[in-house]
Amino acid sequence: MRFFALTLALIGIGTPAFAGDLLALKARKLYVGNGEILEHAVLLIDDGKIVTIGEDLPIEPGIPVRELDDDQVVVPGFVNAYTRLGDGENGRSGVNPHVKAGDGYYPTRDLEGFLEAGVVLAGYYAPGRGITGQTAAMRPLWKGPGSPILKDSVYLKITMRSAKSDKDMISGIYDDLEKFREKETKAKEKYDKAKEKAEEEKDKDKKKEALAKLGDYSPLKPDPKTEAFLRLESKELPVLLSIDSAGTLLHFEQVLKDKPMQYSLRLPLSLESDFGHIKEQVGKAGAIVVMDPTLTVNPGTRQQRNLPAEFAAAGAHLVLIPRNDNARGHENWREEVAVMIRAGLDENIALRAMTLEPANLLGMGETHGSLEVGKFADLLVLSADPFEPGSEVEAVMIEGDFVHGEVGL
Amino acid sequence: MKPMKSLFACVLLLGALVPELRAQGSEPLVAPHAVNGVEPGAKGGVGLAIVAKKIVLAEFNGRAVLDNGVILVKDGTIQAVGAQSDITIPAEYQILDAQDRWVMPGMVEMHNHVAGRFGLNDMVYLANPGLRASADVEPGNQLTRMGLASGVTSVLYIPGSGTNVGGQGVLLRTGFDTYERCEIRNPGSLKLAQAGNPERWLMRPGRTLMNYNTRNTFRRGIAYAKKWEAYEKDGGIKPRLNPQWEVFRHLRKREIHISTHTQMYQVVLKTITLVHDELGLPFFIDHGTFDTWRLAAEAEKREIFGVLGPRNVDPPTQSMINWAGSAPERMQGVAAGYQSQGFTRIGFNTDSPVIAQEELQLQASIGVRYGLDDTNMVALRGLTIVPAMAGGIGDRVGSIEVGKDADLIFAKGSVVDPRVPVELVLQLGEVVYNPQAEGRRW
Amino acid sequence: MKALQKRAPWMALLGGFLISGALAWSSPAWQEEGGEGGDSAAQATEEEEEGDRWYAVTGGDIYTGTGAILKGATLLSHNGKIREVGYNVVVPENAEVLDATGYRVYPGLVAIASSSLFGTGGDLENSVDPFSEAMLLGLSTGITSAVQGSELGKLKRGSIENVVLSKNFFHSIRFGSSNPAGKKDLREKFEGAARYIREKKAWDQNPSKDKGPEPKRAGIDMGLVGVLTGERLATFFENQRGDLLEIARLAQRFGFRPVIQGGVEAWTVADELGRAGATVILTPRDRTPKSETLVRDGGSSIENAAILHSHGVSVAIRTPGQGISIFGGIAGSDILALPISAAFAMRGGLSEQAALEAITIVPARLAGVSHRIGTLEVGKDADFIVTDGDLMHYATFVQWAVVEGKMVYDKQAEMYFAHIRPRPEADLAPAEKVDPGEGPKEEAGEKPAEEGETPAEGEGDKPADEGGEGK
Repeated sequence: MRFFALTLALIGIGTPAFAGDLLALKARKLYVGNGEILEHAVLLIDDGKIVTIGEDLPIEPGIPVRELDDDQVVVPGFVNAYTRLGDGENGRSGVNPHVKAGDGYYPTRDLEGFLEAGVVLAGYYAPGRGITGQTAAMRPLWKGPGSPILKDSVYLKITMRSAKSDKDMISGIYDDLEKFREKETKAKEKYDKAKEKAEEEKDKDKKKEALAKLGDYSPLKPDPKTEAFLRLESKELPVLLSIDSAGTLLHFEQVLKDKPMQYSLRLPLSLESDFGHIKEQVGKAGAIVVMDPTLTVNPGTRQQRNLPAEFAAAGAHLVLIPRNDNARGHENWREEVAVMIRAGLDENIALRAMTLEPANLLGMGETHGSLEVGKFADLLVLSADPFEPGSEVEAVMIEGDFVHGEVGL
Repeated sequence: MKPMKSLFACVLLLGALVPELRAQGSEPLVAPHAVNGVEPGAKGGVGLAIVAKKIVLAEFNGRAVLDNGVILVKDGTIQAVGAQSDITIPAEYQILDAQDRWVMPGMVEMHNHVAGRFGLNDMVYLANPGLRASADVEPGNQLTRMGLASGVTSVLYIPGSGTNVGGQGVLLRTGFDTYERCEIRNPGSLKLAQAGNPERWLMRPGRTLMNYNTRNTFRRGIAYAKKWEAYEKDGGIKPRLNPQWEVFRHLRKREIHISTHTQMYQVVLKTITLVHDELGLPFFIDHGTFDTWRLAAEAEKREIFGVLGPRNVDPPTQSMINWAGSAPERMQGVAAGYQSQGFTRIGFNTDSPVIAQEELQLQASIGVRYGLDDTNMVALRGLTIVPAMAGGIGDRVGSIEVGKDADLIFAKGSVVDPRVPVELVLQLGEVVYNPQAEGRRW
Repeated sequence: MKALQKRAPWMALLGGFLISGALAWSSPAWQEEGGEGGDSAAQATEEEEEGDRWYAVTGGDIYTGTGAILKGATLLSHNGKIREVGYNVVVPENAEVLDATGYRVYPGLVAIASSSLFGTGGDLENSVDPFSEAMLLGLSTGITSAVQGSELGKLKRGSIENVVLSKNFFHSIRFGSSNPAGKKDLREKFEGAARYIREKKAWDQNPSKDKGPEPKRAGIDMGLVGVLTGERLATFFENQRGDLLEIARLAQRFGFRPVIQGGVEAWTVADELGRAGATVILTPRDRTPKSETLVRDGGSSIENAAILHSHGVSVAIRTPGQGISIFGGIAGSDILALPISAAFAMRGGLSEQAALEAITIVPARLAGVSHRIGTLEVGKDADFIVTDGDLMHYATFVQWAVVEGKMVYDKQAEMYFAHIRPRPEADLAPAEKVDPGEGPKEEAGEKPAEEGETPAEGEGDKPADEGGEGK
């Protein structure tokens, strides 16, 4: 075990005094979420974060222990990085990079269903067509007043089809930035000129007065849209690009050329989706692709394809979302993914596609998405292996607290 | 190097001429001329001897081709066929030298709606075994003449498939302009339609009622025919003549066949088990498209004929037709599918006007294009003897054999090739299409 | 290769994952991996490769489309353009080579009347779907360039770069017997346009300073001006003899070369159309019965193409249906039947060469791109197809299609037709380049040659329509 040495050390050093938030979890089987499976796992949680994890670790007396039943397994909490959390708002079309999806968030009763299905982290995207807005990372929780939103701007959603208007929309981002820069340059030039003039003033008082009036140069403040584009350009705000067909990616790349943008792909699967044509290209680049757990056919035929498995095999980082975005859809999520596994998708990749990869899409893979030291203790207790038929979510832990169900009492 | 300066290239150029038959400029055909107002070979005329380098006999289970042969025609009938060395041409016979042209039997269409005014698709009753397409025939109309110009000399003109039993078809010649001269056999068939269209009739009988209705109608018809058979055999009280059921007497005698609009595996299976196995009536599969080819071995076992079309391929997707997609990963040729199951009775149809009557030959070309193995002239047989036998007139037309009607077409190659125009058509020994005299029509 | 060029933004991600295990967006690692420097380096390599792309097809019988047929010759292309066609062509070491021994090579076909081969109804540059099945099927029939709306584009499967060859080459003119007033208007518009051109030219050439104002465009049909100055081709969708005659006269009077689409009765006025320098885009299988009220010739004729061609009229061929309808289960009359349509023109007496031209160079000329496509000549685009027999034969399949020196279709690699008379195993992969001049490689060279004979045998097995089974 990679963690073994480290964890032993931690247990030695890390436990001179038992803070009130310490909790140990013992499970016969634990999916770390990075492909590893621990037998007789021990997980030590401090203040909502994992401080130690390993197999058959001794637990210092005094630490509260929850010991799971033998048939129960632990998996990282599920992350759906592309959801509306049961809110069916249609949204609007156009260029709205400044819109923040979180601003429009109303919690609904459905949230309970999401939690019961094991969702611990969600990317709540802005609906609509075009540049729809910024996605919020949030907990499917509503604990009284206070916001469930963890981050209000994790990625910008853009939808695109093969059409001139949509290509213009993409190039429009950079046109807008260029205009802003021109404006800024002019403003700076104007300031510099004025300053130069002021400096040339011979009368000392007048000069002082003029300089004081000018003050320091304050850069031009971009409007909210431009501000969002600036963040996009600096790759601080990544993009999730939703395209309708394989060819659209080529059109996108043609218009993007070498302009800076960090993007992942949303590839919505329908029966005859043709995304198979770009799997090598996308896979080679190691991009994140958000797909539905659905079997498709080769367009124009009835030849079955498992595009998620194919993309993963080609090297893409697969994110799977439920086929239906309501609470019920999330209940069926694992079954849908199980079908993909039976049709050839690797089980580890499938689990990652529901945990670590979507956390990465939200830019939160460092802190969420797997059960590793330093990350939040977001986990599920399941009645059986995650893709076993009949496997139920028996408890959900978020940041060390059971927010649904109880175990090992 | 500059390619065109190469002597080598020039020599090769000469060698790259198009296939011999089309490249050689053979002399124009000299059509036989009438003697005392009667054409040689026609009824009452002197005999006609046709000499040709290649005669396509198109026998069903026999020879495909005879090289350097002679056909003797007298009184509209083929009197003799054989090698030039074996046959003595009587002195008084007029000789028609086909030179290097092929002489082929006229093509036979078993699914035609254009030889009349298409007035027969009666939608009042679900079963109309008494209706006759013959009442609607329009001899020599434009569309039929186009078909003739392509070499189609016999057609089965049938009611539509809007109802379960549409009525009686009529077998016609295309070369003449009076009904009497055109009629080969009337009734020429009974039209049965299963699945699809008739299910949509008036009050939407659905599959259950439709199959019930087929069985019930046919049982009544058989009962009627049996009464007559008993009377004809044993005498007694003469049964009352009922035009509604008369056609079943012909069917029971196997003089005519049931042309069955049937397609899709389950439906054709129903046709085979109901009409053939249970009721013992002669029928042929008409259309037989989509996934029907998977059933071809069963049809072959029972010596049932298939007249395929107008759909000639089964696409792999169901996005346009719900029934399509028998081969999920490929464009499945319909005829090729049948052949793959060992089926030997492959015929073609156009369902004209769905596909124009003159493009019957193209149905065979397309069959070959999409995978039919044309060894032993399967495609050409599918345009001639197979449909003729399917329709019960294999003893009259469809091949060049002694005793058959002298329905002959002349062309510089196989008519399966769309590039090969028909240069002369004889029907019952008479010239019925001669582009040299009347201008090219197709 | 395109993937390479665009790798940078994703490469960043990949680097992030590999190095820090779980970092997505803000890892410093990716900046090292996918920084600007990396970008341009990747591109430089790409450009170098692009600058030296050789593709050769060897051993096939090359039907150049000009009338010349080179048996067992080599076509060599460099960066998408034909460098050489002929014998003793030296194929560079790094060339991709397609061994077409036993096959025929034709220019890619040009569909002058087609719709939906690009998977879009919009403009090609911005909405072509390079992965559409329509494009695959178009290539499977040998079409490498096709019309979509007012554009002529290339079926560059998998690429959207430089798809458009030509656009707005037709100026369509409404002209119908049902509208005599319209005909009068049209004549007057032509007169106006001709007058404008004269006046404009005179004005342009007048050196005097006080030459007065520039001739006014008001009331002038600038489309017709374009026709008369040769910028665009006037096209008429007409079929009746009377209309066709008037078009011929109009063309002769005002000096333009008309393009007639339809032209059912064109054969009855072939002489006049020939004198007018007309091109007719026709469907050989048109069937319009002659009106019974006419004494003169009329209606459609299977000989239309042949008669027109013999009178000096350029003939281009179109299919009865201009989309793809094979998914409805009926093959033989949609755009995929382009060679079969040409075969029907041959039925009517058109020569094989003229039939080939009618689906290659003639439509290329109409679109003003005959310097790029339509025949296989040095300097033109390397757009060609490799067939297993006579292109006009109904059983012939396109085995490979190459556009600008890149293979875009391989029958055995695609789903639809691979099962039909599959190529022998030896032909499944293009043979590696073998230099026959070098000793040690000769052994290796023999093998493909032997296997190269198999397709010829295979062809013998091909359904015989012209005899051979008289046993």
